[in-house]
Amino acid sequence: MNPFADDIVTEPRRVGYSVANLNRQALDRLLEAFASLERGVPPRRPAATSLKAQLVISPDRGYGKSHLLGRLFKELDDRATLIYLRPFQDPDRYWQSVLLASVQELERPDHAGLETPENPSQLEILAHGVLAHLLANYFQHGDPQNREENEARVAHLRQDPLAVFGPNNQDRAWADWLRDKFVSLHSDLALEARRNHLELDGKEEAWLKVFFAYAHNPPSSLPRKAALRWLRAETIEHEDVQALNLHSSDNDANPEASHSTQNALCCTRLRGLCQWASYYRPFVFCFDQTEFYAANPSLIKTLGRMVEGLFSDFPHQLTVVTANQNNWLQDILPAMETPHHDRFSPPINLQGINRGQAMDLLRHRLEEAESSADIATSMADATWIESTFPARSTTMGVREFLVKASRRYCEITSTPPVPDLSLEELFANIQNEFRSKPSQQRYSQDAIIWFIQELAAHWQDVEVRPIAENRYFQTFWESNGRRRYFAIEGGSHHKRWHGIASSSLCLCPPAALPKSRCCIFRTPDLEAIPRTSWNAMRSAWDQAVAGALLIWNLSTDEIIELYAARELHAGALSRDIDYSAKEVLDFLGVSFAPWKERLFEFPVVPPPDPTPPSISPNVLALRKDVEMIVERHRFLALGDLLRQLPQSSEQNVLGAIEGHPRIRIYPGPRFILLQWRHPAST
Amino acid sequence: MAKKQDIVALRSEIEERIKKAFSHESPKLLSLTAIYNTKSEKRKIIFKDKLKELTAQGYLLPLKLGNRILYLSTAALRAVLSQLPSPEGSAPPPEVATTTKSLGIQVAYDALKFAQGGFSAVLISDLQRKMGIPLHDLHHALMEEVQAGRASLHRATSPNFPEEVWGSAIRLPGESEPYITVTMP
Repeated sequence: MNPFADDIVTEPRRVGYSVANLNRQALDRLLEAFASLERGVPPRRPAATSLKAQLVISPDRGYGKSHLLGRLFKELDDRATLIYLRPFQDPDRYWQSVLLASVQELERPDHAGLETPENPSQLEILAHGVLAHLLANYFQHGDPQNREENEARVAHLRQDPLAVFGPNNQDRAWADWLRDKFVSLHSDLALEARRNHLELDGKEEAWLKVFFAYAHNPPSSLPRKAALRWLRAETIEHEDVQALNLHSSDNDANPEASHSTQNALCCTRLRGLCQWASYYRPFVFCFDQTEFYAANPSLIKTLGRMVEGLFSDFPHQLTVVTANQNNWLQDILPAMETPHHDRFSPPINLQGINRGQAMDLLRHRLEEAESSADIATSMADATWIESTFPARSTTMGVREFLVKASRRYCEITSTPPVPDLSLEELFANIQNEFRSKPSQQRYSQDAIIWFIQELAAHWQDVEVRPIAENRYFQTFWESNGRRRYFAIEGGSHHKRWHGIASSSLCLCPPAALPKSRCCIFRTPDLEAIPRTSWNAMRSAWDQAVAGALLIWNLSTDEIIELYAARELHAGALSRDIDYSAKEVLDFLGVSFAPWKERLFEFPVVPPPDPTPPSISPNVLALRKDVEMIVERHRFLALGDLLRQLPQSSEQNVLGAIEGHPRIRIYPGPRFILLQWRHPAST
Repeated sequence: MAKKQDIVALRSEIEERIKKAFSHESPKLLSLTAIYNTKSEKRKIIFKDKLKELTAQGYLLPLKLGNRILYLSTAALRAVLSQLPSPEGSAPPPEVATTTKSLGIQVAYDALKFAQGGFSAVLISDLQRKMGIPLHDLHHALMEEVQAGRASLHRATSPNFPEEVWGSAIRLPGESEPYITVTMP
């Protein structure tokens, strides 16, 4: 395998080796900005002056913007709550997109490592941190006669909240104590929060109940799922309200809310999370792939508005924005409101790799691939190095260097040169990347909106139009007198779905069928609908799904295809691939034609519900089995591995090893390759 | 909103005044009042904020003299330093510009980088306009700089440039995309 073929970072939690002094200054500037948020002990007061969004600028593609974010994630590890954000797609629901993605990121493991139950999520850590520090405050202000005892408790709670309450702590004494006392304690803890100037519109207690429910219940339990729904600002059902022990007034999302009202509530929730960060550790929001906004002035304006909002209203957070300089100066800034320009820091310019740094990278990649000494010597040949870097100070983009090194490797090893990938191969490659990252296959409203609005607009025979004054359905397609209406809905509240069902019957009455029809895409990680408790609206629902309303439950393969398509488009917009955005959309238009046909078919046989993923009885045991096999083979195709584990599905195997520190996954256009990594290279 | 726009306009006006104060090419130490003298409190606040910003970007170097702080333009300083010989026995000699042409490019580059707010990639078309030399000569000089490791060329990541930018680009044999910007250390 060519050790230089992997030259694009698509997930900052997966960055491999970093050349120590390459772009160290840029990283230090980000770390310095972050350090200003860590001053003092929790609960911290918001900084006197807000931090501008840190603008990381690349002079060209392939200078390591996403890699720098990966290094930032590694450096900050357990000092920050890390949120990586792909571009949002809808200027009317941008906070909703960012909140949804943020909650998904909060569910990622605290240490960018194993996605396993024993590695607590970022949200779990945040919840434990908040509760532990509030409890510490409570004891601090407690009975003066127990001062010594209280001081010991305070020190214990503050020292390492995860060690006190975390799931891996064998001593459950504190966790059990809190579980017993929480019902009588939460108002006192909320009072402690208010004492420290934390104002959340009177919802402080609700927040604490949600944190408690999430942190002190098992992953698939109702309280935990309800906590996530509340955090995502979805309207929650009565059973959720009860599971969380909330007041009905805390269920503040209105199922009939307009998009703008819902968007505002999402903003409030996200700001709330940042406010609670005063009790533990700050947030870092990373906006990557901003080239995606470049062609859409309303998205650019929204980005400016969002950064302005983060700057002025969100405490305890650092925002990082990456961009290519050309796109930033030429496309983005001119379309952004002038007052928002000032909310970005002076540029943090990325540098190219020089001769010495290139040698370092070369050595590391060869070692990692366990290449022979002969190959290593030939690769480090002075003539080649000097022709690539004529002077010691010559620099170039890291990706450009890796491409040259890859060609050189092929010459030396007499292997056929890595061909330029066709669009089909690139698309297949990205699909395999998503396939190898089950954590990236969760519901993304942005990907669905992209398909409905952007890709569909590229079809000659489809006209994409907005719908005015409909609470649920935002867009429709028109083609040869046929209409397809689309709504985006990730929630599962009966009133909202009742509204959707009724609205679909109004838009597509029996007389309008089969020409008109409504469609909503869902993914397997969402709550299955209809819920068993939807008795009151069952008849309206049944009537709607009998003709007017199609619920398309995307299978894992379809999700991967859809998400990979948007990523391919993003790659073209940022010039990460050698195809223009138009070429990519032309290609995707053909690839997704069957989706269009399926949506326009009538009568529609609803697509079969995807087979639920097989439940692995023991993730840890499966991971151990995979480790043994991969270590034995060193390099192994996923298909070969699966043949040795006939009881396990591809999804389970990839889920068990996602982010594994010793198993590296190389997604290729035709297969996924696994490598057991040498300890020195991990 | 009108108030915000006023402040934005004021900020750019003050930035222009600071740039003008340092516009000469020989290095000159300037005090705060020599850079910009105002009695308005609002302007003073913005002025100090801008100075901090330009210092953070590496365009101005604050030097302490007793209790006073004087400012120096790093672009002008760099131009002078590049002409000094390396002291004997010092670390391996840096690959500095030796020709007047490259010195001219570096000074023009620094000024343009400063003017565009610290973004490191400068358009070749802007460089040509600033230096006022024929395109052919500029291309030749830039390629010398690249060969000597003192400059890197970059392609466009946006299609939205005027014809002039594409017209000034460097096209290398065997490469499909032209180079439109340059960065220098």
